[in-house]
Amino acid sequence: MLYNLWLGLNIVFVMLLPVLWLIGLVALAWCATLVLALLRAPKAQWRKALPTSGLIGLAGMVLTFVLLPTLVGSSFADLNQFADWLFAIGVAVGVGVAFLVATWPSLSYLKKAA
Amino acid sequence: MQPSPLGRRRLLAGFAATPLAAALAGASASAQARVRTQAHIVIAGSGAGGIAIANRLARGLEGARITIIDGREQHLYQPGWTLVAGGIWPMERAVMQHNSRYHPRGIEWVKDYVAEFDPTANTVVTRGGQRIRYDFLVVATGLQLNYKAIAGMDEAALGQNGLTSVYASPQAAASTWKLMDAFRRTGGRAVMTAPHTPMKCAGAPVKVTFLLDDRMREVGTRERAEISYHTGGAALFGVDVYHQDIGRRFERLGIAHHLQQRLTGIDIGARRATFSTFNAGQPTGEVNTVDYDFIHVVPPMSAPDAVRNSDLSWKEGPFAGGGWLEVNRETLQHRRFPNVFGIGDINGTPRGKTAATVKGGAPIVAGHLIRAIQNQAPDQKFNGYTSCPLITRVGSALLVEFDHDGNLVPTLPLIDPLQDSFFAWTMKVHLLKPAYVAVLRGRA
Repeated sequence: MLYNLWLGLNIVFVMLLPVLWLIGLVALAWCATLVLALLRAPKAQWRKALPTSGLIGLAGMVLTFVLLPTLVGSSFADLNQFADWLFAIGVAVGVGVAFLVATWPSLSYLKKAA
Repeated sequence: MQPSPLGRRRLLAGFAATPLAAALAGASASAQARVRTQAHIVIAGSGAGGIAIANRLARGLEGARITIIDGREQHLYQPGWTLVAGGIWPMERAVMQHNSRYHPRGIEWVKDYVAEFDPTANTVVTRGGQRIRYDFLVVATGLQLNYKAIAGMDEAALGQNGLTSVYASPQAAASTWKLMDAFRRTGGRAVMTAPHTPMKCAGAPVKVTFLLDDRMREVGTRERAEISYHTGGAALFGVDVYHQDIGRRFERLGIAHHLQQRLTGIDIGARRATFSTFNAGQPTGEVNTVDYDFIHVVPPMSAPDAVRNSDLSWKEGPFAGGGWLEVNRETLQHRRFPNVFGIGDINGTPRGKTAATVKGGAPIVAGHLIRAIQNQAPDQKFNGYTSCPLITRVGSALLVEFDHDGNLVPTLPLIDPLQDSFFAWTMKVHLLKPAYVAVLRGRA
């Protein structure tokens, strides 16, 4: 199981390698929003921003789940096994969480500004 | 309640420190594991196996001299060729970067091919006449496609007159799709073949057959075609449960299948194939000719002549005929020359000619070679892990995994290896190539 986890991490790393520069930029931008929200905005509304971020995450999750089979060259008709559904849902949840985490700091700061 | 300034600063410091700590721990651990040696290791072949071994040895040894011998400069992602042949990938996706991009730093690359192995003298001789002495040898040459064993066959004619073969090259895979696409619009007689010999990716002939059928159904022309599958082997697949399953699928899809039918001749201009019937490896004398509009030729395969004609090959037993490398199937060490190891398709072991076998075998070979340098016996056993995501139609595949003895060894217990799977398809089309790169770099 540990080996499969390690292999999975390597797969993700190799897949992201060609766009590592873009991911780095996005990560920097996100860190900047995080720092801003944490240090420069003592009145950032983390709790108030969570539902909105949650909705964005949910939208990302649903969109990913709906589009995933087509994006990989397959279809919903080919989701035959429990593992197929688990995989599709897992990917969608992962994307949803990423959307939530990505937008939460910015929205917290913006809620403060509003 | 707001976090205190001190708490926020500690949180940010933690984020920054964690990857640094992990990197330092990793570097320290790998430095401690390296074995000091002056050994000269020659790796014959710069395919998946050769490069994977080179990277692992470079990481595990300090001071060793590593030489890779291979005349091919472009690295080819062969597991992608059936995807090219089925019109799923463009050809470019199955051609990778220059081999040097995957070699570890500091190795010597001899851009030639081994013409002769002399294990008694611990020497290899290249086609160009260069004699290279070694302390340890890894044979990673891959195998040889014997198109010449089919009378009338001409590799240069692939891509024309309905003649296809996914194995020859990425260009041949691309022309297979071109002709498949043309055939599915017109229909006719399609003849799909497989040899009687061991072959790399034994599922490929079946995959191409399933893809042809599916692509025809996609455009509604399947009824215009007669598809038949002829294998020189005694089974549709080397693992009985899949032989049975594929047989049932062929019947359901209306694909006639014939066993022990060896493609022994072809008239390319007349589009006529000649099959000789065999029984338990012996010709029965029965010969059939079949006219076709589309044919997928899979040639008999063997070890390259340089291995076959050397002392390294099996001299008796089921692997002797193909000249395969005589290795212990568990340790992958040569049975008579302990300073020689084998990786990949060249090995004379039951089954196991896939990239997944290289993934499983590379750490074994590297580990055992490093132990041999230290005069230590092998300490691991390789079970012959083989994997072949068997595409059954566009969008779905079977996740086929088995060991030396044909036992199913699924990696993920949730996946039914006999049921079509979207995940297996996604893995084949999108995840296996990154995994392959990780294996090349010795990281997985």
